[in-house]
Amino acid sequence: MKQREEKTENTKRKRRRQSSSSSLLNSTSSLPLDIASEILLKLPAESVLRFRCVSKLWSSITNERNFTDSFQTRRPKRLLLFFKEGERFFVFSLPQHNPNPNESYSYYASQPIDSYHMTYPKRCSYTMKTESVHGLICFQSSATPIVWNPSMRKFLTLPKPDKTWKNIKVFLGYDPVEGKHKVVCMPGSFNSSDECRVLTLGSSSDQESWRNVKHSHNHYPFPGKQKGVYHGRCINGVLYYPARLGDDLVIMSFDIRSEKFINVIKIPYQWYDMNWHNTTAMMIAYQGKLAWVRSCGDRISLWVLEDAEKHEWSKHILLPLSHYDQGLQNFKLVGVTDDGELVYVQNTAFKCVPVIYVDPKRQTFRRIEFRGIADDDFRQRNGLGDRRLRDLQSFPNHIETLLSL
Amino acid sequence: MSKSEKKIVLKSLDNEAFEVEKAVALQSQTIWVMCEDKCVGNEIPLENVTGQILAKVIDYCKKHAVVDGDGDESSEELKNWDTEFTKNMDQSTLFNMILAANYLNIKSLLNLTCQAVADKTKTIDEFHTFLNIENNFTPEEEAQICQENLWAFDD
Repeated sequence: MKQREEKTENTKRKRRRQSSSSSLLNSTSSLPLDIASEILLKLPAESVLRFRCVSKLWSSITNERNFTDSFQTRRPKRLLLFFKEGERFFVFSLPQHNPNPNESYSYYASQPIDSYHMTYPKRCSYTMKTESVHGLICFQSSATPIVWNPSMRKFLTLPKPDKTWKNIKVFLGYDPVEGKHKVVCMPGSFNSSDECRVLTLGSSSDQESWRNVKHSHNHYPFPGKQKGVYHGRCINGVLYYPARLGDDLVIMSFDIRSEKFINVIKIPYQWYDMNWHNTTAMMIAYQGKLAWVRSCGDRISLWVLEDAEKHEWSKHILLPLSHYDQGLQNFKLVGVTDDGELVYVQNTAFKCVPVIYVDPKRQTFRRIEFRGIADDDFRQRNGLGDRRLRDLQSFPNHIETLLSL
Repeated sequence: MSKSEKKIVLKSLDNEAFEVEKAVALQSQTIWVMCEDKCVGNEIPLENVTGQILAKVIDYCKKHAVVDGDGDESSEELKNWDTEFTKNMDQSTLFNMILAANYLNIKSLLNLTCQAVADKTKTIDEFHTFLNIENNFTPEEEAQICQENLWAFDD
């Protein structure tokens, strides 16, 4: 705090000196607006927030929709990783791009691009959460959704979608046309229901209220679970989530912009044939399309949804990780990058955090050891003891967004 | 094309003359338009750029003209050259390079110098000083903006 006071004092002195000091540029050569915005766009979110203090003009540039949109689209996507220790919440942003795209096998070490820790909201569930949807993740505390913007380090507790609901299932969607995030909630009871509430996220001053949307089918949605098995997925403005419809397991699709339920999609196989003990299934966005991945031991099948109305899926068999490297254990698929690389992580870590990227089409494999997360030095500095870090959560394709909640 | 037509003379604000290959100078959209207009002779006056800055801009264009000719603009070697090019520039030179790149309309140089400024500038005061921006916030307004995102002000 003392540092901050000194900093403010410095700024005041500068303000007084400013008028008399001759700048290195002559006074006529002021910086064109688009260049100011160009420089700001190249800064990390933290610096953008700090440099809002440069002038009123800079503050207004960085709050404009044009700027915040360009800021998001120009950022490379990252792998967001976090874990919780008591009330402390540790967050890391890891590079995701492939520095050696021409190599079929690569092993290398890397560092987080950004890391911080903050206080985790009280009574907020850690297991129930959405994927990272255009830079935001939604958690919940019993029947209340809590939205997190990791780039702005802010949690926002939303009003309850319905006072009579004891529990909820929360999904998050993004409409790329209007550039709006929407939170979609359904009752969390074990009974099927046709109820649904939708809320648009925006600046806190004009936070809208929950809207009532009806579904034509009574169904029971599977919420996001810790292992990512039943995360909803938002792809090109459509939210997909698995649900029980009568005795069937189906995928519901909801158009985020029009707030209408569209198709009820049959999953690509007889789900009741599944052996639930050693099988996991999850939905991922594979090259712009919804895909269903089923892992059963070493056998991994991927179905890509080609036509939602006709329930048409194309099936692909993926090579197991053991095909690329025999020594890999406990790696779980968490998603796919835009370049088509499947991302595998472990949910515990000791010394380093390994991440594996496999491109099934080109049959490339890379294994990155991230330092500075679970190593001795980091654990000692933060009083994390000398045991494995547990419950690590990883979200591929995370983007930085300046959206203020 | 005769030898003289391949060369062009660029004249800086402080009357320094630089003779360069046309292919080098034409990376500047501004010079390209001037040449197209044919309203200038072989000598192009650049009223917004000092000789010291223009010399650096020409260095950049020479390097990029050669490598672009090989059709491999994104080569590792060129990237390294770009990094070295801006590495030891002080901030006032960098800001003047940005203004020159903007005036001469050389997109890749503008991009490179803006990135270098973004990487090097760490404090609000540096922006005030080098970009000649007046801090027009009242202390109260400034405090409020800081308060909104306190974490961003921690070192």
